[in-house]
Amino acid sequence: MIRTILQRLALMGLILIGVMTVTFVLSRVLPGSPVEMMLGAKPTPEQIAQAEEELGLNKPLLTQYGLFLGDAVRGDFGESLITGQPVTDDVFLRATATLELVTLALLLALFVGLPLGVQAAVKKETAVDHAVRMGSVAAVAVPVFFLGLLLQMFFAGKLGLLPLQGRIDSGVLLDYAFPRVTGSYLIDTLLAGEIGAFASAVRHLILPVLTLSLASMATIVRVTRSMMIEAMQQDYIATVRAYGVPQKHIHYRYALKATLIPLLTVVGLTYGFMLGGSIIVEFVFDWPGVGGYMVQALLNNDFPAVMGVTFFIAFAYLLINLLIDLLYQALDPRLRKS
Amino acid sequence: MQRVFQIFWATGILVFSVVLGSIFFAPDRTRDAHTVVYATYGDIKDWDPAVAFSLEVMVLANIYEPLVYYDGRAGGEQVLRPALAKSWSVSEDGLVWTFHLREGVTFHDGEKLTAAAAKKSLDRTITLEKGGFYIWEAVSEIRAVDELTLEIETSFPAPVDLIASSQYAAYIYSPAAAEGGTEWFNQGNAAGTGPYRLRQWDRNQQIVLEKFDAYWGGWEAEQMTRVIFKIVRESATQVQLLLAGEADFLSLISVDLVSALERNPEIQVDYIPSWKNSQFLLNTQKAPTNNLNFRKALVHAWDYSTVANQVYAGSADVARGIIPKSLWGHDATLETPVFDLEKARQYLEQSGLAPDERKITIAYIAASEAYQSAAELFQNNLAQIGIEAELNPGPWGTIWDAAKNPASAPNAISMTWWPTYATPSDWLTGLFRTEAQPNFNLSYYANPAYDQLVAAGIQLEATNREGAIVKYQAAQRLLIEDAVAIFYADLKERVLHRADLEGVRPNPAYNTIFFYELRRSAPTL
Repeated sequence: MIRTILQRLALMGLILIGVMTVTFVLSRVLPGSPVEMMLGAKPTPEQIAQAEEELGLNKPLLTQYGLFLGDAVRGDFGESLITGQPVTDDVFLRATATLELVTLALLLALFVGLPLGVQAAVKKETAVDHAVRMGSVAAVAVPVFFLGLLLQMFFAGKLGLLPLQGRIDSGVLLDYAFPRVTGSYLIDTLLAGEIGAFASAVRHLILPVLTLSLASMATIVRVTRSMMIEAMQQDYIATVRAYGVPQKHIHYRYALKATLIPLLTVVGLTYGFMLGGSIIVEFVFDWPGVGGYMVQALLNNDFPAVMGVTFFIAFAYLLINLLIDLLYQALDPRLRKS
Repeated sequence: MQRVFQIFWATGILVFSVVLGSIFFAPDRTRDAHTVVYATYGDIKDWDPAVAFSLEVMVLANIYEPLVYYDGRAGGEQVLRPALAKSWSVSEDGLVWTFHLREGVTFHDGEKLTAAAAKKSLDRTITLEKGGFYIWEAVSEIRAVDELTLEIETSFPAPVDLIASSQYAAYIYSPAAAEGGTEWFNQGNAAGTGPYRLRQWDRNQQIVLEKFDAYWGGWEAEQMTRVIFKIVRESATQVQLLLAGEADFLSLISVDLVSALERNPEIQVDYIPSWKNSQFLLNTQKAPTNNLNFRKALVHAWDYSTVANQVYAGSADVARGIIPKSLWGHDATLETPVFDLEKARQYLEQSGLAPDERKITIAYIAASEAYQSAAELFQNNLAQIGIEAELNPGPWGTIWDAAKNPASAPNAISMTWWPTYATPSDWLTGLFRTEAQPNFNLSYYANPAYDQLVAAGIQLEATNREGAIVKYQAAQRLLIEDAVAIFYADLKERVLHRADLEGVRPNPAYNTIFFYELRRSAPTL
């Protein structure tokens, strides 16, 4: 087991180097220098030349790459040209915001999607099944930004119940002191014992989590349903049924187990995708996450930030895949033996 | 199994209760009548007032003050107001400027404003060589004559009063802050003399300023005591915040929404002449725009009034020359080209260019709807007179890089310009003075007669501003005669805010709202 993990980690390292190399070359060969954006409104030619010298942009590409790798190995991606802050700080700040949002959205999707998928399979071709299927098709079909705006207009604009944007109320952020330990406001506010700030963070999470979870919830429902239907037709289910085991046990203890492997694949891929792909929800709700940072970095040719954020997303995606593969083995003894 | 279901339901009920409780019982502390909220689309990068050279001035102008304020609200008249200097004078030769500082002014960190402190601040800004430091290039020495008298000596006559009123590189900051350096500033620290001190910077989320009790200007009960800059990147969200009363100002304004918002009695839309203007620079060295008659055909094929009235939807006036009418030195009598396709055809014939040579490339910033629409309209008009135009939109960094290289430069490139300090010479030198390696002179214009006129004007600015205006007017006439650019729009600042806020009178010299001037007509809470 340990050997497998070590092999996978080594492979991860190679993939990461490949991803970083391709991103480095692409960012350098595409037209446009980052210094114009970095220096503000009207830089002089001397200021531009000085900035290029400081950033090493006038050195040969290979030298630049060597310097980058040397720093990156030490976890130093340099300073963002747009924010002026160390990229690792920026990415940590943004990534923890995204992780909080995405993790909750996925948990909600599982919490609701799994039972719905099971019920749709069990009550196949009934009104329940039709309703669940139609609902899931609709959830996938509605564009995320549109759904986000609709929810904003209804819950914030019409009812005035929920906030429009941000992670926490402005005044609360000012008046409640809570140290940023994990970067998750829910955890950090609880650790600091600031219940008011915790409640404000929860309020701000409701709409973006709902928006982000709906599409993945629909996928989970569909996968669970189809896998359950397949499992219910297996011989071992007929045997269990013949033994007189209660229906609920058959569904959740025996049939659902068979859906876990494909479901895990979907969950893993969705989670990895959402880390970089929650950008639309982040924009609609002004969630200061990693997606918005990535777009800003790309649009402004912010080389250090592009490299830092690419590393984070690639690393997170590979790590999730590794964990999912390990979980396969934990769940299915056959895979362990092979 | 039963236990799993119990846990499932218990978790569901718990989460639901927490969510419900949060909806109804979470504290909401954003609003009170003395708090003003500005929805802005970007965070601050440079907190160091010596370095800041971009949108930061929106915040910094409320924390820091220069020696002198320029009041651009008086239109083309030049009006300077005391800021940290209560009076100033210049020697007869225009080389030594003396500023008498206010007494009893303190910085936010408790340090006293003295001539030595001001000297330290300006010296640091100049030697740092960042941002807009070059506005001080004429300065040879800064002296603290006594506790409150500052002398600035220049190597040639320069308008130091105007330079000292700049929104870039002219703020006076605490000597202790200067010791801390850029690193200290960029950790989210500030120490100016302005009406507001920096209370909080929560990166990517908000900046909070709070009233500085010891402000030399004093305070009245109705003034704004807290300013929150909320970072809201989506235009639609900014509008919703404004409509809900959760924001008082917004910074991202979609043209489509303006007319709808104008009908809302709770929202006020102000159009204020700015010092920004837009033009398309024509490359005078590259075929076919190196042909004067061809360039004249181009400037007559531009539909000036349609662009100003339709494309910019009222937020621009047709430009008359390069100096906007809201700044001193503007020439209202200047004869500028008008939209006339017949005349354009005549110039085209006079150019002697064969039909297959009548092709140009036009570069502009892709993200700008106004450039896009104006360029497409221009392309249509050119097609009517037999000129083929290829549109090449792109990010500014990319098109600027291409335009600086003679081989990849387009025939025309979009440009929006505003001065670093209140002088017409900023346009005249920045955009059209001869440059060996083009930086912003993307017209590649090189005319010694023009360069001499501008240099003479600059020399006169300190001692004889009327004389300087005459030189600048003559220089402008050369630009028009040589058709070096399509000068098409003097832009207006469009400010959208809640109607209950009074005193919103933006000053074109500063890209900010001075929150100290605001009052709320009726408290909302």
